[in-house]
Amino acid sequence: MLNFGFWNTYRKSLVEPVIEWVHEFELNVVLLAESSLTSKSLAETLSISSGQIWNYPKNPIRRFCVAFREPLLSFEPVYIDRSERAPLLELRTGHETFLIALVHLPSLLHRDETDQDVIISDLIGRIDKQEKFAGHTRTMVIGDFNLNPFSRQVIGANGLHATMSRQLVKKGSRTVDGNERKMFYNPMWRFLGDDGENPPGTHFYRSSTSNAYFWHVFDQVLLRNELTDRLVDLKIISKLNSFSLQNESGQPDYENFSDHFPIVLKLASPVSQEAPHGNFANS
Amino acid sequence: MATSQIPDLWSDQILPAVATPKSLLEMQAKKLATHTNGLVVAEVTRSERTADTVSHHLVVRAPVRNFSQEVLEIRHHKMVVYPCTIHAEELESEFADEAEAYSPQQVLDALAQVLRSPRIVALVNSLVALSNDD
Repeated sequence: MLNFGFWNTYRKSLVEPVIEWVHEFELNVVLLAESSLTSKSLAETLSISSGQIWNYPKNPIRRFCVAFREPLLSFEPVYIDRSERAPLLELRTGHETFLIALVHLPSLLHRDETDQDVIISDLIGRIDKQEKFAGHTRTMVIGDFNLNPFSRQVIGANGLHATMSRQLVKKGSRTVDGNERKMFYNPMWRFLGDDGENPPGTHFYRSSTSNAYFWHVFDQVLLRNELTDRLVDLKIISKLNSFSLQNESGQPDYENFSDHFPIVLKLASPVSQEAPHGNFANS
Repeated sequence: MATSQIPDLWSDQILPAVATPKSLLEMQAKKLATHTNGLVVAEVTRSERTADTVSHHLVVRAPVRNFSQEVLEIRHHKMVVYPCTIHAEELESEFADEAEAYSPQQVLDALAQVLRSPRIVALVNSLVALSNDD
């Protein structure tokens, strides 16, 4: 199993909660946005707290904090975009490589949609190019999109082209206006609204505009067809053993922690070496 | 007024030979390798922003690290290359992350501001150091 975790930590270090989150969900890959930690300090902290060897990328990456442990052999940025908001990383285990696009798209509170369009358009082009170069499509896009799963830039064929059904992405692509467009599976659709177990989103924003969603699923993971059947579990985490990450209203407790809940993702090993069991414990 | 006394009202900045933003960028890209003995190089890639707009990206690469980073972008109309906009972190202001250039000299001034910035110097030096370690 490979366990990934992503968390926008709201310009804080959140050392103790991060350590607990990593250990509680037995994460192999830790991805933080807006962290005040460096990748090196995070890896060192996790190594000390776990007794395991945690590593960090050697190639430069600025906007994110990244640490990883076995069975990963390496996890290195291979292409950083101009905004540094959507770097591509290559993850290597002993058996295979993955392409990971780590994203933190600009918020629509500060920038307009054009900025997001440009970053996404460039990202899609680079993913296509890198997939052709690597000869596989074990590709994941993960991070804080500052967009919902139903946003034009996420579902559109000219955007990330991510749909809610893994069945729909079985073909891997579809033809739109004569052009073949690869697709992603977006499992985050299941988290829109209350389902009893998970909070109604990963981020809460109270707006006075007439169209207010209040809850947003900004923190997302998208998978190419080659990875969809290996998705074992996916959760939004609002509570850790020692920390409640939500306030009295159930919203992210940004005063003590972050304005985003973290997400965790479990991928099975290749060729169904492991049965699709072993979900994360309910948090 | 005699014909010979009619003044030339055209700007001195109109020249018989004018470099395109792309050629100015490509020239800078070529020069990086000489600073780094080829450990870190640069290249210019192209993308189309809209049906009418094209972008040229300056990408710094460390081949032995399998690493590339885009450091700036010049955007202009496909047929009208000036004015162009240069996009880079160093050119960010409260209102935009770009500078507008109406001439090759203005492009060069903006490029100098970016390429000599602490961010780019640190990036290239880091990549040279990492490449030497491999």
